[in-house]
Amino acid sequence: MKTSKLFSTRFLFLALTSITIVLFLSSCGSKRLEDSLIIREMADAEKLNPTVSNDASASEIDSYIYETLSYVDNVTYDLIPYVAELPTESPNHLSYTYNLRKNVKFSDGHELTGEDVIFSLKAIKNLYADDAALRNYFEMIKSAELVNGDKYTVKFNLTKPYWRSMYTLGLFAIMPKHILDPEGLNDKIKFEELENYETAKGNPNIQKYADFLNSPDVSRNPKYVIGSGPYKLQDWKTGQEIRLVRNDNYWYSATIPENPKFIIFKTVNDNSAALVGAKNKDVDAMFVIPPADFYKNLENPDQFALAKAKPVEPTYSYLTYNEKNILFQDKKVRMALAYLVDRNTIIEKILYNDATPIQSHIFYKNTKYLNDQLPPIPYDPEKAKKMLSEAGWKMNDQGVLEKVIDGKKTEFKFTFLSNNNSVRKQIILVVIDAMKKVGIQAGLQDLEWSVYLDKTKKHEFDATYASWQLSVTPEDPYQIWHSSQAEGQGSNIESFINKTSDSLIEAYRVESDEAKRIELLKKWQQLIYDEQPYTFLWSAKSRYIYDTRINNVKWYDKAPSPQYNEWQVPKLLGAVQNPK
Amino acid sequence: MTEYVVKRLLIFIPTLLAITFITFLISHLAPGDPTELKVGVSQESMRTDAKSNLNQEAKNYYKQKWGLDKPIYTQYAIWLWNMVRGDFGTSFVDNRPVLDKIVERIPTTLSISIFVIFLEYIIAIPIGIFSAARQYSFWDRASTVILFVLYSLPSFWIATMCIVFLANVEYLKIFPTSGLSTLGSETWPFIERAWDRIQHLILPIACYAYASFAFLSRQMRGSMLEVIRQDYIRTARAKGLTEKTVILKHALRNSLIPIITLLGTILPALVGGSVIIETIFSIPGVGQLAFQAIIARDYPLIMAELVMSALLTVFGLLVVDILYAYVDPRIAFSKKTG
Repeated sequence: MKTSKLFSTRFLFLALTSITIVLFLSSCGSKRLEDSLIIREMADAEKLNPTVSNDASASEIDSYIYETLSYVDNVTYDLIPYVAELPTESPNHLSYTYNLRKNVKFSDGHELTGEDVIFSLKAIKNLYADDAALRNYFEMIKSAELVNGDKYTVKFNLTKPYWRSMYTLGLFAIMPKHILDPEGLNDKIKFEELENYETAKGNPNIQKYADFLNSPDVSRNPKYVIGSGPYKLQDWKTGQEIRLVRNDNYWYSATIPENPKFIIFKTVNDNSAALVGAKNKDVDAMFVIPPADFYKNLENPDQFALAKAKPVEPTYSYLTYNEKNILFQDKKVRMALAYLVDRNTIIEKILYNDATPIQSHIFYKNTKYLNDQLPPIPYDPEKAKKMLSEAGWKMNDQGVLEKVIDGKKTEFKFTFLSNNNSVRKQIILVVIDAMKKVGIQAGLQDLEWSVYLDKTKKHEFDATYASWQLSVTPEDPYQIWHSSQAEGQGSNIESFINKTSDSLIEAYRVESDEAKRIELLKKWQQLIYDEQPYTFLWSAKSRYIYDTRINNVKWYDKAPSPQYNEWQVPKLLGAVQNPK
Repeated sequence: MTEYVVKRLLIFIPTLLAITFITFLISHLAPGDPTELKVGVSQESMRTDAKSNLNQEAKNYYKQKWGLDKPIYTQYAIWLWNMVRGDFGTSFVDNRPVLDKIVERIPTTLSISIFVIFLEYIIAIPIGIFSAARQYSFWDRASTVILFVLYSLPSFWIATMCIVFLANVEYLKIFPTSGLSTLGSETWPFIERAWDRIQHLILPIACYAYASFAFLSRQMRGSMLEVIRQDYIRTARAKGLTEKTVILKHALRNSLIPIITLLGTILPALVGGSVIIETIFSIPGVGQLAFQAIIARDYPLIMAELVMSALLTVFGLLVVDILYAYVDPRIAFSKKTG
């Protein structure tokens, strides 16, 4: 008897203590920072130097710290002047000359000049720097120089004419030379030496400078992370938060008087925890990744003083079939497969009605370049059946389509590859089901992301569901559609090889007249539509939520949609004072 | 004794070699290519002149830089030689020394694990003793059922439920949602800051610890039951000692021996952290880092984490063996005559 008494009093004690703790805890109110905007990031950035960083979080954060020569207009998508006037193009289209503004300063007060621009280009073109992905864009940019020694005039020289260079040159981040290359190592590096690994070997300064640029401190220490933008890096707590503070010396500040003092990028890895964080006011704005969180778990945002926004970012989804597989070599078959995708039902049932069906590779909001004469392909299994039988496919005893190809009886069986994404999986299953009804047997294989990437790049797949993230600037289809990109590990994963498409793309790339260029691109879109290497699916809307106390909230149909430095945070009663 | 320890330490060397060699092979031969992740177009974006082979050259450059162009056994030998000299290399992702990356996160993981282990033992052991002392009573059965239900609930689910229901203004807002501290708390006075940290740690610690309750308390109950049946316990009871003295004084000490064995697994868990809990609560700990390293195929980081946990496991087992000798004099390390 005594023991039971002993334990029961202990348990009673424990229970009482825990109740007290709980009550004490719940009495603590949440404290909110004054004059700051807290944005959720799913993963911490890896590096913040704009040249060597290669992750999505970093490029978003860098857009507030660093600036570029030109800017893409939020609405018209045209290039507009920024740090420099729009460039003048030489008659042979081989050089672009920029006149820089004279009042642009880095956040440490140092003036931004052509020297910084040239230095930044050299850093990008440095073959040993960790920016291989970015460097690809600059292959055709041969060199840069000051015109007549004027530090406000920079001329870029190209190896061959390419009208899209204006975007490449206008949109790279300008880094401060006096901070990132105080010894002037880059002055001892010539552009010719940066052409390839062979020429680079001759100059030890190239490796020496790359080692410095790649060093972790350059990408993490606020001493080195300095740009001319409206914000500067104040503090970075690994895996927790990156805090930007308003640059009070900002040269362009007259236009944005009320921007928040702090923009804090807070890492919240888990999606459900992030949504709860928004409800709790731990986070002011975020992109909601799982559709269910946006539509179901936050049905009534007013209740939490939250609001929803659904801008369209230039991205689209598609199904594609590997043309190395004999099943998919006939364009009639590919067209028939397109008729088997019930896009409207999928959009309604799985995507909560927030996607727009598309027919072309070009971003549908970019009306100038889009060929809008392409009729939508409806869900029509009967028509698909007819097309398949016209292509020679006959139903066998097992209810599977069959055809004799190269003297061999072939059944219509293949596998979709997917990358562990539940929404994608759901969609593929709907498509598989529709295919089954006409006698096509498709399976599904789920793979981890890097394995998936590896398999698709090596063309080791039958069919897959994927997406492209595009930019709003005029598209160059070369990388995804040219037949040269089907070799090796290019982005033409489906091995679409078509001479007419190639010649249209090639002509488009060198055509300097915009009207003619648009003509060529529209023709090309018609051709792709007829060939159906992709079943173009839809452009889904982005899902953002934000706190209703914030004023001047704007959304643009470009990526990333919000520009948080425009948002205004009203004074908050009872807010906690900021450090410093 | 010394002889035994030396012997054991010598046996570690081949064990460690085998562990590292196998993990080295598995991690390097698994599909996925770190150079592709480095050079590849990260956001499925556009290139200008992909016709050239600059990309391939850049990949070759990284292969060479990271030594991935050599045969796998040479790579292993190089890695081993560097490791022996204490050089674990730098991360493929951000060029930081991998040791820095791990050491930076150890305090966080350690502060959680210490509490978790403490909590596990402080709760599981009394429950085990109680269940054994009152075998087949209502409370014995009830605690068994409850603990097994807890044991079988996956921690990612419990953690999410805790956040949704206990840290949410929609239901109950008792705890902070995630992270380690409130934004801007660095300027608060120390007491407030400490209190803030404690609040942030309660849910992760609870979610981390609960699953082990069943396991530990069953161990305790089992060994206690075995001891209770011994003759000397019957003697103690016959002497007229109270049940409390019998259980807590005579039986407890002897039944703790199997529990010590479990201590061996604690050491690696202390700094290993939990991927699931750390990810759900956004805690920048070692477990999360290991997970990111695997996703990014960051070989030096993967290997460093593995070596760390292998070393600690082996070391933990050694400590257990030595502890045995002190708890139970019957266990001897060297052959003694007589």
